[in-house]
Amino acid sequence: MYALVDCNNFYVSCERVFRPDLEGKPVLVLSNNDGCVIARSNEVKKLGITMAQPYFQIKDLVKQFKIQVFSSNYALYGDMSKRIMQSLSVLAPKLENYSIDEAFLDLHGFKIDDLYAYAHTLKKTIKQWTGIPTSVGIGATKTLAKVANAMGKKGDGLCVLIPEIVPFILSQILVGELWGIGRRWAAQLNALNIYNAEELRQQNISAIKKKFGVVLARTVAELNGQSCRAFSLEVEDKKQIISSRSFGKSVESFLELRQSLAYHISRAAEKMRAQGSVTTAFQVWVYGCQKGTEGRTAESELVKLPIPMQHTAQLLAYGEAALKKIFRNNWRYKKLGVVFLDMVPNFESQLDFFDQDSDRSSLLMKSLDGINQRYGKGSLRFAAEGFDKPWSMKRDRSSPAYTTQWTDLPRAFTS
Amino acid sequence: MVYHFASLGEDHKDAAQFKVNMDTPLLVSCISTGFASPADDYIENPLDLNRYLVANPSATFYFKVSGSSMAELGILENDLLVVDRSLNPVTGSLILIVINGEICLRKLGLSNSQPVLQAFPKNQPPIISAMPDPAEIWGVLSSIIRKVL
Repeated sequence: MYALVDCNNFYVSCERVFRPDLEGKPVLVLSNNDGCVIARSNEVKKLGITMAQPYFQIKDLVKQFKIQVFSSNYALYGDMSKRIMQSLSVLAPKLENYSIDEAFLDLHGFKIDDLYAYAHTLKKTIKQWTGIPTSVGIGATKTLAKVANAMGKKGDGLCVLIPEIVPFILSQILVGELWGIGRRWAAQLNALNIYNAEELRQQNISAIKKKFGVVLARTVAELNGQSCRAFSLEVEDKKQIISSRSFGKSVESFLELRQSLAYHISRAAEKMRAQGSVTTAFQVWVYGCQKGTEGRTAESELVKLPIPMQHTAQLLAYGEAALKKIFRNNWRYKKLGVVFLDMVPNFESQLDFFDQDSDRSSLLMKSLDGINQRYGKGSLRFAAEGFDKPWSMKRDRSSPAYTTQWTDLPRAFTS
Repeated sequence: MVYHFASLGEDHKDAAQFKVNMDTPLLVSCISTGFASPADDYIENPLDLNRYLVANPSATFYFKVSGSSMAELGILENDLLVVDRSLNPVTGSLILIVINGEICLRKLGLSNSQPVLQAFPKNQPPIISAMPDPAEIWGVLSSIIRKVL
């Protein structure tokens, strides 16, 4: 059996842990640059506000219903997520950290009778230790655990899908609501008179495989209780790292654009070093348009490095040369990004043996990352990033970094 | 400059073996010079305040104190509080509890064998009130930290 633990309205719940006054009140969280809605409290869902709805469309509703609006605070959400995953790893033998707010647990060896009590313990412990409400669904496969979780969310947040009730439960679910089935497949299945998940479960697996391919065939097998989706315990090293952001306001000067580039190269390089990789190529891209026109044109430049690199200063030099090639005067830029490609593990220990220079430069990078970890993001950085960042993203309504910055700690009142 | 190992060819491998990484000392003394340090057999980890103060990191949060009315209990304005949500409060525990939407510091007392909440207004005797819903308890205080410099 597998369990799926899913945090309820995760970003909203994180905000409420430190703002208990917002319990029972409408709360929503906006995406980077305050563009659109990415998390909603139940009260907000009831008002008909949908996921990914642009913020400007709902400004009247926000006013009318006094909705509390937050910019996304990933420092907080990331830390709370880490706490939840750590807590779960104490409670479960095997854990797969599936997303920032979901984890699969492998429960092989548990007795079925105990599963409901176990689900209850998971939910109660996570709530007590971290303050975050969760839903727990348990089923024979990961796909069924997902179904169970969705069922649980409609009730008290707990659902164990025992084999006897699977057909009934699946008959209540449309195929389009299943994990991994998009709109296109749903329409094709409907054309074959397959509307609900139970009807899909009863299909012949090899016939489905012929018509739709192996992915949907696996889903059918999973609905029948045969586990097909791999359980990955380790987070694989990323082969690509992207850092990009829309500008708070349009950028026209090369200097400001270069500062943004330096910022993104620094962030991406920090992430890359954290996973112990070096890069052999990266791409710089910008979005913009000629002054006086509308629309978005993308320009990009691929940088192939002569040797694998991890040092921010070296990457900055190559990045700046690339940016010079694509920069145009008389343009307004809206977005810039970098993506590190072709990353390989850093054989630093071997390098240290003979390369005094690389020894010192990787030591410098280690110190840089260590200082930023200890004193907060961007405490120590390359001057190329600039100081006032007029291009930086809009985050007008962010809550404090309650759990990751000494300056942002929450307050306890004595009277 | 950073060099990728593969880019330098096989020749350098042998030469490279002679340099030893000294960042992580395995012994206090160097093997080649004279006597071994008598401390080698007694190496222990340095004391770690995190391990001393934080029993359950996933459930531990830090707060700052607002208000000076609990000075009698040794809790001053701006003290750093270590709060462990995984602990269950007992009589005498200092707890964080949500009152009217605010996170407040209070003491759990006992009156006529019933748990009660004690607040400490400045220069007045403690105010005793009935224990509210346990769901309103935010966490249990495990340490108070104050820098004096």
